[in-house]
Amino acid sequence: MSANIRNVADTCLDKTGRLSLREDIHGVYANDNPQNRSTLAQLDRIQNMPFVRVALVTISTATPTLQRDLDNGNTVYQGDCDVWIYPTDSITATANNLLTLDQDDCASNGHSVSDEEDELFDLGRTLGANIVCYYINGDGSGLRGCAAHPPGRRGFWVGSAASPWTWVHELTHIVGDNSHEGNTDNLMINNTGTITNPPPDLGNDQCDRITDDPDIEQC
Amino acid sequence: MTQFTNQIRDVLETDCGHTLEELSSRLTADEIKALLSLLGAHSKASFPHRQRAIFVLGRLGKTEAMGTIINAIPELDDNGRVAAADALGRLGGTKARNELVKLSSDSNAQVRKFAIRGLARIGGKAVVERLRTVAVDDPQDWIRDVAHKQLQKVK
Repeated sequence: MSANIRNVADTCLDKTGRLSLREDIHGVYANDNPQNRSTLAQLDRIQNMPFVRVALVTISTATPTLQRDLDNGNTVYQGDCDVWIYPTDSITATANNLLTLDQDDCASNGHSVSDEEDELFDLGRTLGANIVCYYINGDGSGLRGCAAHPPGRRGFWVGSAASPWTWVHELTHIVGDNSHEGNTDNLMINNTGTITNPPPDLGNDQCDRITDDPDIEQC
Repeated sequence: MTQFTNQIRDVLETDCGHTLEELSSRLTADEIKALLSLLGAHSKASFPHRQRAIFVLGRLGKTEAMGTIINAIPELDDNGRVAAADALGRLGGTKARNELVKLSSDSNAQVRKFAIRGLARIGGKAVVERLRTVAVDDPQDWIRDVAHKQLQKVK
């Protein structure tokens, strides 16, 4: 079994050397959402289901509900799109000046990168994922999240007032370049605090865009 | 009680920034007035709505909102004062600069940071003097660093 786990981790996830079953295989990095996790089911998922790698950076004193976010993300992606989310690593960085981010804008088109955004999105770039999530407190406008990012550094930030669905909502702006939808049952409603009938849905078109994303890979 | 159009409601309540600029740019003159009314002396608007209204007015460059924003500051929470510092730095001018000087000694460090960055956007001799003081006297070392860096941009 352990030889098989090592082989799968190496072949499919590029993880070698000393392995943590909890972190490197199950992708569990926090204790806020305890649940039974089947190693066999996870090994099957790793080998057979397309996935996207995401690294996590928490700016010190921000208070994320990290595992809830990862588990909710996987609930939506696996349930609707047959894709899973693999957190490659999670670190904490000290940068008080970035806790409340001064961003020029959060626009999907014609985005201007502030010096603070530039500094934030430099972090976590060696954690094994092309997409990095930053946990901060927020920004000047009171947003819960933003997926605008500097060119060539895919990522998004999530604030301390995030809803249970903010994290995967922002990820989905990045993966597949999905826009907002008007349906409150859908993950991409512009206020995830108003989502009805959770877990929220992703439609076929949205899933197609996700599976076509260049950061989706398969073992 | 203020009746919101769907457009204002979207601007105030979107929790993802993906479309905030686009939604804000479509606000009509009447909708801008409605945003301003959220900051009035007898407003019952929530703190998050006040914060968002101030932020949007600043980003839209609505200089006519300057006085209302300044008058609203004593009634704001920490996040609202962050938004006010952000807005004033973008609206610019002497009144904004004077208010930002006050906010640069706010009790909340993130408010002070936004005030420092706002002052640097405005620039000028008085700003350089204030940033020099903050770069030495602020109780937080990281705020002193922010002031020092902004000083290099203004000089």
